Amino acid sequence: MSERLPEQSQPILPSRPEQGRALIVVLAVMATLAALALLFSRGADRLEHDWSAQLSESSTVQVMVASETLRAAQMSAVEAALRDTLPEARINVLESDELDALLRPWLGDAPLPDDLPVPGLIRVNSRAALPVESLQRRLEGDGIRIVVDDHSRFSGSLSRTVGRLVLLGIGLVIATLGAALAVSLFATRAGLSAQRDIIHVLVQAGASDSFIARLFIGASARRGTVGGALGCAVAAGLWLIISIGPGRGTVGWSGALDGIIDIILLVALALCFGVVCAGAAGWAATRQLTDERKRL
Amino acid sequence: MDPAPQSVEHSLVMQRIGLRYGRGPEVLSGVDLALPPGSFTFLTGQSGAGKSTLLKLAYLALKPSRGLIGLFGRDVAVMNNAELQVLRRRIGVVLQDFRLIDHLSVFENVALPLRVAGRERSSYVTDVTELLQWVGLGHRMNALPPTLSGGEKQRCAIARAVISKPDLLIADEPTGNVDPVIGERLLRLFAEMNRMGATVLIATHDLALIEEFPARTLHLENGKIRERR
Repeated sequence: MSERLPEQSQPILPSRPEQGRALIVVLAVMATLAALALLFSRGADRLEHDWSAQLSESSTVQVMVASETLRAAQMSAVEAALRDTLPEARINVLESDELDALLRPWLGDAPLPDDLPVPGLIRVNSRAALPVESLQRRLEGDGIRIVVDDHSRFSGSLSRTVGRLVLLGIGLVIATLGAALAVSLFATRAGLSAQRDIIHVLVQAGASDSFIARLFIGASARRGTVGGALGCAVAAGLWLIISIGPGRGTVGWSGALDGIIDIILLVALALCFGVVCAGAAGWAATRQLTDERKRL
Repeated sequence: MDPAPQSVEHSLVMQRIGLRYGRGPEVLSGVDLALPPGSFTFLTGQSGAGKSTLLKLAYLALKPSRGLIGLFGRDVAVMNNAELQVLRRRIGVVLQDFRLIDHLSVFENVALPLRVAGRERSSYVTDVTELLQWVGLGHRMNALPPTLSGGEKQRCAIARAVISKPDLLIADEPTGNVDPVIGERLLRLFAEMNRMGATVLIATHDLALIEEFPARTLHLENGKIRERR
């Protein structure tokens, strides 16, 4: 009389749920940090592109008013010249209270002297580039001097800063994957030591190194992928919270396409965790088995 | 330079084998041994005489300090890992401590050599089941080793050693933990394997058993082997 057998073969290595869970938690925390670094990098990059686009579409024209009596006439002349040059542009002449507001951070709330030579400011928003030199020549003929600021000083600095932040984010992702690799190496070595008796039985049964290594690779790949997926899911949740509320102009998701691309990247990151853990396990197992073979 | 193992027809050949652990004295010294294919041999000797060590050399779990070992006509010293793996699959081993895997069922323990050899489960279920019934473990196929008695463990270990129909069957005190009736039955299993063509080498100090199964007997003493009639 014989018993009924299960349909599937049992795994050759024992599953140790408590040890496996602890490792998955460690990997999930690492994956969360890596995913947040990735999302911050992507968010900062998006923000830089938004700001740069906005800055490139706007410029400020300073009108060096010759005297207060001529201010109104000269400002009108410049405004007319701008409308003539860029008919599609949004042109906004700053009023005196707006000028005062701009100076307040430097001069405080004290009333400004009447004879303080403050240039007139005109804000221009246009997709088309402002032909600065021809405009200057045209207005100089009327005795009006203008200076145009296209904000390139700020956008260049912003680009460089964000570029460094993106590099830092990529570095953090790589460093975290490296830490996951180290964790997997240690876990595999510990597993090999703990399962020494089973490995001896397998070797005696004629198992190849790759057969034994595959047992550890499979377990490690599962742990890495599950840990990576959990960590990335947590990071995606946090990012969703950041994204709710303020829309465009923040580092969070401001559109469906951004979100979809980021989710695809997070899935790839989770798979990377699986691959890195599997690779580390395979390398550690093969190396240790090779060392042991030399002694046999 | 030592000659290559002399006989291609021998299952196991040992020539001038010496073995020492570290810088200690030689446990085995100038051992010569030849097992023709299909032979049945007992290896006797007192505890600590080196029987288990000699068997370890035979099933490739140890390397000798000197001398040559030939298995199935090939010098194992010049074989690479892949060749040794294939060679190990032709050797069935029953160890004194059984070496069963505790989290695997009796069935899975016995099927292990077939899994290692890459066989599909469906191709070996019947073979393993029949063998387990034959050794009296048909009703314990799903049991885990820690729940087995000493005799059941012994039978499970023997079933694992013979499931792949090895050409060379090596057993270290296979009847040491079982009562005489089961011991005799297990020895009949070895005799059956031998009748089917396997070379059998059994280390034992059970002289009563040897008397019941008359076969070539080698005695290991002071690191050397001598024939015993």
